[in-house]
Amino acid sequence: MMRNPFRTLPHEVRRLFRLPPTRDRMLADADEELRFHIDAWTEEFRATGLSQRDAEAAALARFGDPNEYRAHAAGRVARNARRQRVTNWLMEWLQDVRFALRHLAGAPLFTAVTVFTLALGIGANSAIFSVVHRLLLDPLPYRNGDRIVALKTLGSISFIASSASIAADAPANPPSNLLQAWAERNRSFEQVAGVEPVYLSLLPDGRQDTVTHAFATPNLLELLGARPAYGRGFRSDEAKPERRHVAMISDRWWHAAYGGRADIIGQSIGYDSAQYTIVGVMPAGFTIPMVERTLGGLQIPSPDVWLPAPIEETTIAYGLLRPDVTAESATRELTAIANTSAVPIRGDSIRARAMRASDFLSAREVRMIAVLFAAVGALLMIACANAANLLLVRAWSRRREFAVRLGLGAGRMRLVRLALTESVLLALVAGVLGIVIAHAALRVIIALRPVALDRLADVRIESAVLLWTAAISVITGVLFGGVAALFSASQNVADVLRSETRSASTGGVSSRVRSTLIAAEIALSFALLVGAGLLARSFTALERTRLGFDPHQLVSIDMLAPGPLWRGAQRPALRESVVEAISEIPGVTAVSMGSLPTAGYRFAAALIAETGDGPRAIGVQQTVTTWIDAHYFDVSGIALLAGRVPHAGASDETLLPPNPPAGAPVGPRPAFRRLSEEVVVNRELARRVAPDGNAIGRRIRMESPPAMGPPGSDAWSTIVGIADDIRLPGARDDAQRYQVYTLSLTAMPHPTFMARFTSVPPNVEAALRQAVQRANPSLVARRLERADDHVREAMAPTRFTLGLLGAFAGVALLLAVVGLYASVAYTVNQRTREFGIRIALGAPPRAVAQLALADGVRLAVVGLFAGAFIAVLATRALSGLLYNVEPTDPATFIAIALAVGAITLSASWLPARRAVRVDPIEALRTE
Amino acid sequence: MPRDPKDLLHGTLDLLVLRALAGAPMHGFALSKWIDQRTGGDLGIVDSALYKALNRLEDSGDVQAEWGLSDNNRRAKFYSLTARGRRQLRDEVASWKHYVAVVTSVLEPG
Repeated sequence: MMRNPFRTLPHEVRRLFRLPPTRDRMLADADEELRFHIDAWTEEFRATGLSQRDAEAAALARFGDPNEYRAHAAGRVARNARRQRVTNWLMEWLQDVRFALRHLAGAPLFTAVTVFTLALGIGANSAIFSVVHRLLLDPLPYRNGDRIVALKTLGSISFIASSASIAADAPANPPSNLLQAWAERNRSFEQVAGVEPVYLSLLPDGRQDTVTHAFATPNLLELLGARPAYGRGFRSDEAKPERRHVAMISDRWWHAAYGGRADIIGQSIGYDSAQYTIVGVMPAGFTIPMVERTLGGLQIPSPDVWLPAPIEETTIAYGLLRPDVTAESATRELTAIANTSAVPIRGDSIRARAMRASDFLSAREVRMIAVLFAAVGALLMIACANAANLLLVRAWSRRREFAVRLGLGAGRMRLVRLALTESVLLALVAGVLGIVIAHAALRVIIALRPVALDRLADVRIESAVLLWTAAISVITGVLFGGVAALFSASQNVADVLRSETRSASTGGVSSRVRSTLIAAEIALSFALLVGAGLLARSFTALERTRLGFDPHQLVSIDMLAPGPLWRGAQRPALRESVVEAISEIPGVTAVSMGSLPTAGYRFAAALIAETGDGPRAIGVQQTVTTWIDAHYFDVSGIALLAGRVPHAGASDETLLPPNPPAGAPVGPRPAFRRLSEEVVVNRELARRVAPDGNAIGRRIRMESPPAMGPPGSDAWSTIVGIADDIRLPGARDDAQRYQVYTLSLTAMPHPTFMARFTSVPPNVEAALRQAVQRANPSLVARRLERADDHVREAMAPTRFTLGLLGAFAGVALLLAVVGLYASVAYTVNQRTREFGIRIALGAPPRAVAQLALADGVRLAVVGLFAGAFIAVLATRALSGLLYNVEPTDPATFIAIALAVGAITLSASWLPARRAVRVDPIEALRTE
Repeated sequence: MPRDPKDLLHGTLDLLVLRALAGAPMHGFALSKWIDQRTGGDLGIVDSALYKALNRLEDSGDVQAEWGLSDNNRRAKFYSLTARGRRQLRDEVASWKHYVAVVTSVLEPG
C-alpha cells in the first residue's frame, strides 16, 4: 500500500490548503511560543538593568516549570490529534454516504429494482423468522418462560380427541397422585403449579353466557413470572378447602361482562351452586400455557373464571426449573419418582417428560418450519445474487470513473468502502421495505396457519425480529456489495483507461461472475419449485383420500348440561327431545348422538380380546372411542359392513361420579371410560381381534391404564357389528387405525349431537342453539363443528407449507428470470457493434439471434442441471411432509424442468430478438 | 458556581484572560505583562498557567490563535476573542459581579 503522500507536504502548503497541522508541527509551535515568551521577558528584565543571566533566570522563574508546561502541551496535542482523527473518519464516512445517496438518486431505476429485489428476500426472511421466534425461540412470553416446563407422562393414561396431528407418543397429563408425588419429592423445580380446565360450566345466576372455568394452584402466575392485570392473585392458603371461595376472572370477560369496571373486586359470582368473591383479573390475553388447540379436542386455552385448587386437583402441571437444572435432568428425576414403589400406581413403568414449550411441536411441524426457513434463505441468496449482478453491471459501466479516482491517488480501501457504503445503504432501505413486506406476509401466514400452529395467531414483528432484519440487511449489503466492491478496486487503472476506447469488450472477470450468479439463481429457484411441486402433488393425493365417511353438510354440536340434568335419570327423554328439536331445523335430514367421525376420544389402553385360547392382549395399544346411538352410522355415512348397531347396555350410568355435597366448591370430575355391553368396531380392529374374519360375537375389553378409571371399567363388551375404516387425509397410520363405537344415552362425557343437512344454512349455529334451548332450557349449546373443517384442517399443514413454499418459489423464479433477462439484454447491448458488423457482412438474422441467445441458453441449462442436483439433495428434507409421492419423483422434476426451461428461454429470447434488428449503420456510427 | 477550588481558580484566570483579550489581539508575553500591570502581581500567577488557560480557551473555541510578527519582528502567536469568547466574557463578568455583590452584602455589616 502506498504511503499517503500528503503527509509529507511542507507546512506552508498544508496551511495554504487548510489542512490541519501535523502533530510535530504543533509541538514545535508550542516550543517556539515558549522561547519567544522567555526571550521577551528576558529583554524586559534587561531593560531594568539586570545582567543577561539574572534576567533569564527571572524570566524563567516567573514562567514556572517549563518541562511541566511542555508535558502539558504534548498531552494537549495528542488529545486534539485523536479528536481530529475521529472527526476525519466521521466526515469521510458522511461524505461516502452523501456520495452514495447522490449516485443512487441519479439511477432511480437501478435503485428501485435493487431495493425491491432485496426487500422481497429480506421481507420473506423476517416473516419466517417471526414464525421461528414465536414457535421455537421464545414460545412462552413470560418472564420465567425459558425455565418453565410442562410435566407430562408419555403414551399412557388417556388423552382426549383424535386428530391427524396426534402421535402415538403424545404427551398426556399425569394422574393426580403422580402429580402430587412429583410436587412433593422433586429437587429440580423451584415450584410446581397446576391448572385444570373444566370444559362444561355455566353461571346459574340468571346469566345465559357460556362461561368456561379452570382451577389453578395459587402460585401459577408467580411461577410464570406474570402479574394480575388488576386486583390480586390467589394467596397460597386459598387452595385450602375452607378458604376456596375466591375467584379471578379473565381480562376478556372482565370487559365483556363487567365493562372493565373497577369495582369488580369484591363482587360475588355464583357458580355451580356456590358463591365466589372476585379478587383479581388475570393478565390480558392469558391462555393456559403449552396447551395446543386440536380440532375436536376439548382444551379451552383461555378460561374466563379461575378458581383456586391444590395441586392434586389439577392435571396440567408446570415446573419452574432451578437455574442450574436442565429439562433433561428434570425428565430423569420425574421418571425416577414415577417409578418408585412409594407412588401407588398400577401397571407398567411410566415414562415421564419435562417438556419445554418448543417440545410441543411435532417433528413434522418443526420440519415444516425448517423447510420454510431454508426456502427463504435460498430466496435471500437469489435476491443477493440479483442485486450483486445489478451492481456489477453498474460497476462495469462506472469502471472508468473508478479508474480515474485510483489514478488520482484515491486509496483502494477507500473505494471499497465507498462501494460497500452504497450497497449497505441499499440493503438498509430494502430492510425497511422488507419489514412492510414481512408484515403483509404474516397476515397471510396467520390466515393459512394450521390448528397445530395455532400459536401463530398472535405472531408479530417483535424487537428480536427487527434486530434480525437489521442484521441480515447489513450482511446482505456486505455480501452482494462485496462482489462489486472487490471488482471495482481490483482493476488495473491503465488497462481500464486504455480499453475504454474499445467498448466491445464485456469484461472477462465481471461477466464470468455474473454468469455464475445467474446460473446459481436459476438452480436455486428450480430446487424451490421442485419442492413446491412435490407438495402440490401430495396435496392432490390428500384430496383424493378415501375418507370412509361423508363430511359434506355434516355438523356436530356439543352442549353444557348442568350437573343435576346430566346426572339424572331423565337422560333418555332428554336425548329424545334434543334429537326432535334439532330435526325440526329446516334442511336437517338426519340427527344422531355422537361426535364427528373425525373427533373421537383416543384411549391409550391395551385391548384384551377373547380368542379361541382365552383372553389375551392383541397388540392394540390405543383406540379411538366414539359414543353413539342407533342412528350414528346412517348420519355419519360410515358403512356398517357386517352385523348390526348395539342395542344393549348403555351403562355409563354406573360410572357417574358421586354428587358433590350441595354448596361445596366444585372440583374436577374423574374421566369416564366404559364401553357398552355391545359395541361396533372398525374393520381394521376386527381383523386384529379375529384374523380368521369372524369377529362378530367375540368379546373385548380395555385394560385399565394405571391409576385411572373406577373399578369395573374393564368389563367385557361383545362385538355386534363391523364398520368401515375411516381415515383423515394425511393422518398417521395409527392415529385412527382402531375404532370402537359404544352405545350411550347421553354421549358422555358431554352430550354431542350430529346433524346431516341438505345444505348447511348460514345461521346454523343460532338455529342449533335455539333448538337445544327448546329441548331443555337448562341446556346450553357450546361449540359447533363441521366435518368439512376437520377434513380441511387435516390437510392444513400441507396447504400451509405448500402455499408459502409455492409463493417463495414463485418469487425466486421471478427474480431469477428478471436477472437472466437483464443479463442477456445487457450483453446484447454491449455487443451491438459486433452484431452490426456481422449483419453488415451478411450474416443471416437467425445466426445472429442464435449468437445472442446462446448465453442465456447456456446459463439456463447449467442452472437446470445444478438445480436438479440441489433438488435431489434438498427434497429429502421434505420426506416427512410428502404424501404418496417420492422426494425424487421424476414426473415432478421433468415437469418443473420443462416449465423453467421454457420460461428462461423466453426471458432470453425477448432481448435476443433485438440483436436481429440492429441497424448496422446505426450501430457502427454510435462509436 | 464552581465548587472545586481548582475550577474556581481556572475560572477566574480564564475570565482575566478573556478580559485582557477583549481589547486587541495580543501574544502571550503581552498578556502576561497586561495582567501584571493590572494586578500589580498580587495574584502571583505564573506565566505557564496563563498559557494553559490560553490553550484551554483555544480548545473550547473562546479564543483563536494566529501566527504573526511581534513589535521586534519575531514570529509570535497572537490570540484574539471569538464571537463565542465575547459572549462568554459578557456572561461571566455579569455573574462575577453578581457573586461579588451578594457575598459583599453578606459580609458588610448592615
